[in-house]
Amino acid sequence: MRTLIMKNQHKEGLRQKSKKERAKRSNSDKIFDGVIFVILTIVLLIVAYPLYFIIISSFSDPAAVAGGNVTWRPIGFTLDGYEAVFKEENVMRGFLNSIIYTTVGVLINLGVTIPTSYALSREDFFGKKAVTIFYLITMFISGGLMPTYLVVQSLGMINTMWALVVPGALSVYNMIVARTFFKTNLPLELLESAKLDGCGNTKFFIHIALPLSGPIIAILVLFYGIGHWNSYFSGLLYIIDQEKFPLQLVLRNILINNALRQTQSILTEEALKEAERLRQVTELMKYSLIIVSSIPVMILYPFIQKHFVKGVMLGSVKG
Amino acid sequence: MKKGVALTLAVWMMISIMLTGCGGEKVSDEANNTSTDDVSKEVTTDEDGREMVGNMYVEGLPIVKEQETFTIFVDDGGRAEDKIMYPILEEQTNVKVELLLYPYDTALEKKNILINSGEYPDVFAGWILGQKDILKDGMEDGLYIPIDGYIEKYAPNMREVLDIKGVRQTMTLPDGHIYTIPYVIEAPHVDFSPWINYEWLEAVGKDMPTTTEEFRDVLRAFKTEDPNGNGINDEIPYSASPDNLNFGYLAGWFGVSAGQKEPMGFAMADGELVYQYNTEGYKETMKYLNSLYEEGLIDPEIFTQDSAQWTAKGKQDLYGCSMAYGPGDFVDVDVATNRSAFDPLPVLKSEFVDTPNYARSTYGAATLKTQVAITDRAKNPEVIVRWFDNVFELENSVQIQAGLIGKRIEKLGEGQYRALDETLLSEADREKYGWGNMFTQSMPKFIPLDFKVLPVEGKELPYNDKKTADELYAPHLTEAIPQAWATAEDAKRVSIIETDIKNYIVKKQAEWISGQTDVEAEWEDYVEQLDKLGLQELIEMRRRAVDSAQ
Repeated sequence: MRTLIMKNQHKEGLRQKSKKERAKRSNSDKIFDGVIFVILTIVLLIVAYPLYFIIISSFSDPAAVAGGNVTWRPIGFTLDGYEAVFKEENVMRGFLNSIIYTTVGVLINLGVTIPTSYALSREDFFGKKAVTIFYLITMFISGGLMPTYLVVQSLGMINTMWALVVPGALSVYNMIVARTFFKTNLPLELLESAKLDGCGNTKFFIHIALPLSGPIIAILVLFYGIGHWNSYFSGLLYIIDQEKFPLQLVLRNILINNALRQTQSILTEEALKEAERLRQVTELMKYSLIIVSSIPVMILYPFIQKHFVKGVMLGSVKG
Repeated sequence: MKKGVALTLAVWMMISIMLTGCGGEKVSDEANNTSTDDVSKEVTTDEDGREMVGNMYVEGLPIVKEQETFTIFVDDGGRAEDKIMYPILEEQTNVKVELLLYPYDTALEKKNILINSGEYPDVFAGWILGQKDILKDGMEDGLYIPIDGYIEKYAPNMREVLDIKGVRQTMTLPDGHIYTIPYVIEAPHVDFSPWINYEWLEAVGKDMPTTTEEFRDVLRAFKTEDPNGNGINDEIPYSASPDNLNFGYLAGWFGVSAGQKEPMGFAMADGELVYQYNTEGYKETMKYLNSLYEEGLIDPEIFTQDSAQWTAKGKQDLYGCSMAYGPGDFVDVDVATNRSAFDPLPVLKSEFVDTPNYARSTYGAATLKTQVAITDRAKNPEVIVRWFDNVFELENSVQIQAGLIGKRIEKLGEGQYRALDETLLSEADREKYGWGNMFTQSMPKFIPLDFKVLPVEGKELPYNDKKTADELYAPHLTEAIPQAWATAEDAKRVSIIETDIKNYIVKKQAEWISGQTDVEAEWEDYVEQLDKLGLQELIEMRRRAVDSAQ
């Protein structure tokens, strides 16, 4: 039974299986498979429905969504939400900013993470343990919000892109993943034979190690890229000018836009009208914003997904 | 190996101590750097014979000789460059204002970070300031500076506002100084009230209810007789927005109304502050509402929906009665007549009491205490005070409130303005010159209470629902609670106790009305629990504050 499940997991094994073998499966196996299939289908529906709901809601009349009428298909089909999103200057500017921040951020991340993790993967690196421990400590104990802010402030990075991409240039977790990759994929023998051919450390890193680490680079791009794309808090902290806001901060501001608060005890007619107008805009744009902001990640994912199994899994299994 | 660990730890700790240490020092350095008492600077005259203090003219426009800039941090969802009044004000005063605008929640977080980092703007403004901020950060820590000296010396318009009855007392902190710029606005006597669908009343052939039992009867008819005429039994007799359930107001039907505003459950009786949410009348209210709920006359979603859902149902013509500021919050209002299908529900009599009442919110004007505070970072606070004083000039304030002259209003004569037909503007212009784009509206302006911008010629609005409600409710209104500052030491306690009590009351209201637990059975526990949460202490502290304000 156990071997059979393991076999099932193995794609190639499954493909090679003959009809005869399949016939050998007992009834209990079939029931087991059936139950698994049903459970997985239910889980899939539970996970997929909210996504599906967001998609159809983005095409529906906001009043119908708020009224709870939208369940399986868009009601009152409209593209107004998307129109409003693309008309909003802030959104497009935020989009552009986020692309820049993500690109620059990822380049810095890679530039720092790959050499660090390569160096730490080398057994012959002096002081490897002490340095690793130093890194590990930062994983568990951080400076906290204000000290970090004060550092960034005294470095003069407030209200610049650098405040978003320089602090956190290296994620220790990602560094460890990469280090494990290098450890398992670049055996010491490889370095030794390269050295025999007269290859130095730098040359080995650039001409041999890097070309061999495509999968891990792809993984790091995905991890760091999504991190940058989804982060709003550092923007909230460090950026002052609205023109420099990353997309997620713009989105957050639109969605919580309640500057004229209904709950305040003093209300004027105009304040209420304005609050109502803002609320309607928010309702209209809520779902289309989510879709629009997820598109880049969805585009990025398929290109990198194939490396996932190779990179992360390999690293973790043998690490 | 162990040595290595110890070493790294030591280095790491040293670095972190250095970082926090430096930050702390920097902040306190700047906090001590207050410049509050330079009100008496030397007066000089410039070549035109105008009196000057430093770079600032003592009166008249422009305010400064060489251009100056100051920064305002304020919660506002818009963009600084869209605010059309600022360039106009800059031209008048030669003072440039840099606006830092963030939506409310973002602004709150950002404000704390800025204050802690020591690099904050010259002015904090908007809803992000609370009484606690002014008391704690201002009066105690000196982050905000007292400005009464500047107002006396340089701000005639503000002095006029302070002279309105009750305003000076409201604005003055326990230490005798004013820290914030006064903001007085016209406000209705009744803020929230139930609104009833008179079209439905006609459809079911009932008269406007006058007692709680008649009201029950009407709600039953709404429920069963299909007044919206769609053939489906989808009517919701009573509903309310989750943000403004305001059940406390309805307790007035049972003689004890204390509204639902903060502080929750307080009312004035014969000039004294009393607590009402532990009285028999309040209990009766809960029992009554529970009986409506059990009969299915109250929206079963009332405690769980959000305000968007509440509005969505209202616009589908599903409500017979709802609690709101005005019916425009949840149904469409006819543009031509300014009228919806809803009228204010009269104050109802109950078996429990002969003379019902209703909580009064204001006497027609409300003072917002904490809309603008100047920080100790401001180099020339007197310029800032004068800049706001210029905002208080009628023509500026009217434009901030009603729109630019030539775009949305026209000037008829001195102090007389009339609205222009907004259909004359293009769609884009209407948005550009809209209310939210004129000024950061959470900041003060001053429009005298008897002043009105005349309506568009021939377009007098025939109906004003808030005025109708005010007039209808007038005989029943209670005394308004004077707005008062608790002393600094009380303020902290007050806010803790108030939060606890409020949460407890709101939770109990929901439980009792929806019938999860029984009012009668739990009543004694409830009264006891209120006292345990510090109710008596709260009443004591609130009374002290109110007495000092009177």
